[in-house]
Amino acid sequence: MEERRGCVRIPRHAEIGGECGLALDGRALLRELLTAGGPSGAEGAATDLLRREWGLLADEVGGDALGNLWVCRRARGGRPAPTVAFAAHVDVIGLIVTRILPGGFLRFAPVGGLDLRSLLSREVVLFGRRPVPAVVATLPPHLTTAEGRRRIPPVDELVLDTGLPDDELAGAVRPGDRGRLAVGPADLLGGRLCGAGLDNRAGVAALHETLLALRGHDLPCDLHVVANVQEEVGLRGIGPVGRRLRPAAAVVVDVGFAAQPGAPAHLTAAAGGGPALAVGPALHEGLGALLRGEADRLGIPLQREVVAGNSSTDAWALQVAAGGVAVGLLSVPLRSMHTPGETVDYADVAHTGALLASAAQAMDPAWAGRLVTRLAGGGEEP
Amino acid sequence: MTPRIDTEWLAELCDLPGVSGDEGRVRDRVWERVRPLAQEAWIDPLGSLVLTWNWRSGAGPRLVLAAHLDEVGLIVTGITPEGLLCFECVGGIDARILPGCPLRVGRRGIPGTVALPPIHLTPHDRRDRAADVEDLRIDIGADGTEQAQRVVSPGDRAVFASRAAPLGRLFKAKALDDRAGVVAIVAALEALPRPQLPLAVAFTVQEEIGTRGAAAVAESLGADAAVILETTTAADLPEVTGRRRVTRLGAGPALTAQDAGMIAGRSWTATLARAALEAGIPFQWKEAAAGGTDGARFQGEAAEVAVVSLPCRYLHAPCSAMDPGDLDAEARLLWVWLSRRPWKEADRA
Repeated sequence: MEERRGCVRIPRHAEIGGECGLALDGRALLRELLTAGGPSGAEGAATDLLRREWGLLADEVGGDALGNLWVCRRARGGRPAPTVAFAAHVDVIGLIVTRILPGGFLRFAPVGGLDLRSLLSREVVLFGRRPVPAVVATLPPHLTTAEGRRRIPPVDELVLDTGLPDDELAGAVRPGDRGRLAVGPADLLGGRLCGAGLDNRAGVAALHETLLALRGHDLPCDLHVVANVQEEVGLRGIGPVGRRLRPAAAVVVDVGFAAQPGAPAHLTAAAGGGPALAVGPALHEGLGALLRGEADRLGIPLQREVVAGNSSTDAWALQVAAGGVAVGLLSVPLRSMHTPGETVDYADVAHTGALLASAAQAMDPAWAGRLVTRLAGGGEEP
Repeated sequence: MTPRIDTEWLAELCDLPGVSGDEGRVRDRVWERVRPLAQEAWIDPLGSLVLTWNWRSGAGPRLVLAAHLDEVGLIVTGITPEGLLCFECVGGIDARILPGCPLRVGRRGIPGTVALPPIHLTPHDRRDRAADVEDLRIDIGADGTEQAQRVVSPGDRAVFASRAAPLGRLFKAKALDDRAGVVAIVAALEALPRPQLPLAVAFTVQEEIGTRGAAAVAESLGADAAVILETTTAADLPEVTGRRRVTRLGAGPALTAQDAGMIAGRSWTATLARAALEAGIPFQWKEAAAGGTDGARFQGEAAEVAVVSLPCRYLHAPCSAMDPGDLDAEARLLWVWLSRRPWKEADRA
């Protein structure tokens, strides 16, 4: 079998049989994911890619009507084992077409927290009947004043320019069609990567690294690896996943703020300094301790992020989605979040993946048994 | 033979980096192309490429055609301890287009972006205010000063990293201002027999920081007339009406009566308008006296100046957009007009 560059050979685990497959390595998958569609509510192109790739690395593939995708690595020997989930949201911020204007122009609304300060003159792609490139139009200087150029126009003053004649545009794009920034990916120095949508395709790539690292290793838990949808529009996708899978413990992988000028230092982690483990009231201490212990054992650098309440990530929603879930949160440090110039250090993605692979092997029935404190009786808790 | 716009060559020229003062790579590609046409040619001390035919020997008015090689961009001014790059704008750039803009930095064209602190960590009352350029930094992924210094030095330029490509029926690229003018001149020259009258072509440098190259060329040539091939604003966007649009795409090249830097010479401009009318080439008048060109420099050396501009949306930005039909019409107009030299006095009235 041909060895493709950017691919790794997969010896399938024993339960599936002796066949070999080929899966993309983590960085190659991330680069593909960054151009694979996927604003909230229209994640299909990205989850299709993951269904193919993760299907090579797991025992079962599942999903639901919202578009959530998960794969399962079953525990060794099919014995009763705790259910564990590692989840990363697969949607990215983007836009939705609201009106077709004469002259090839469109009005749009943001999907998720599009940063309007970084939108003027950017290239976007619209997922109409076919992919349609467009540019965010800007007014020339003679129509603006010096003071006006200090003001970020609200989205209802912005238009997209497709350059298409009216009839062609009407045939290609309709209101409701989604679009996203078409910037990157670009390889920066030192293994860093830049591109729109690294929030949270970087987290998804970390889970791919986990699945790759677990090839050929037995697990003491039923591990579900989840690419969930609609995080950027209000943590909507993870709840149904939580209720369906009912994990005892779950780790959410998202991006976090990396240190950069203009960002308060105490709220950031260093890019290249390893994933940041969140601590705070809504995050499970025992799970945090397990992750810290595994990081120490493996020599994986781990930073700390303090979250006083709502982390604004799926960890917040998942914690209470299904009878109380022990949740942890690992963040890949990311600069320039929600701009087209998001950057990560791939080493942080790889470290996150490796840490989770190791953690999964430690989440055995005895560990999971301690998540619920039994006080009396014969154990009728779910 | 009618002129043909070589779109692939235009795309290649637009994608080349050529921020003011660093136009060498663009100039090299232009010289490669026009070399077979040349009689006399030189690069002046500032870097402008000048070609002449019968300039001192020929009879009749000495005419120069000019387009500028440079483009707006950024210049690196320093490297921070974190490995980020401080910069200033070269030429007029609306700073609001910079955050998140993909860039190619330095001689090696390494990828970068203009970093912006996340909106989540920005106080609410500052979220609708543009960042100051002094507060913005270029992120090339370097982890510390040393790693950045290996690939970038202060003084290096950075260009928008967009690629020339169709945008619907339009064509988008960085640096259409003024590579489109360069291509129009070359297309007309290639379609004409070798000039018999005095003619010069000046591909000027440093237009975007104040028409520096043209000032030097205009003085050394001492032309009687100049035609400037430029780009001009097309603000033909929804809700912009009347003369605020300045020009619009699809209506042909624009002639200038007056801009911010000069009043165009009426008689030579009239010959261009007449040539367009007679040849059935669409053209429009620039409807606002905004912007300036190299023309003012030639006028300052007592040449009569006409300006022919290609209407472009989103000038000085990563994705300027033009209608290929307009560029085609512009090259045809220049070709028709040149092939009628010398003009009768009646044409110039």
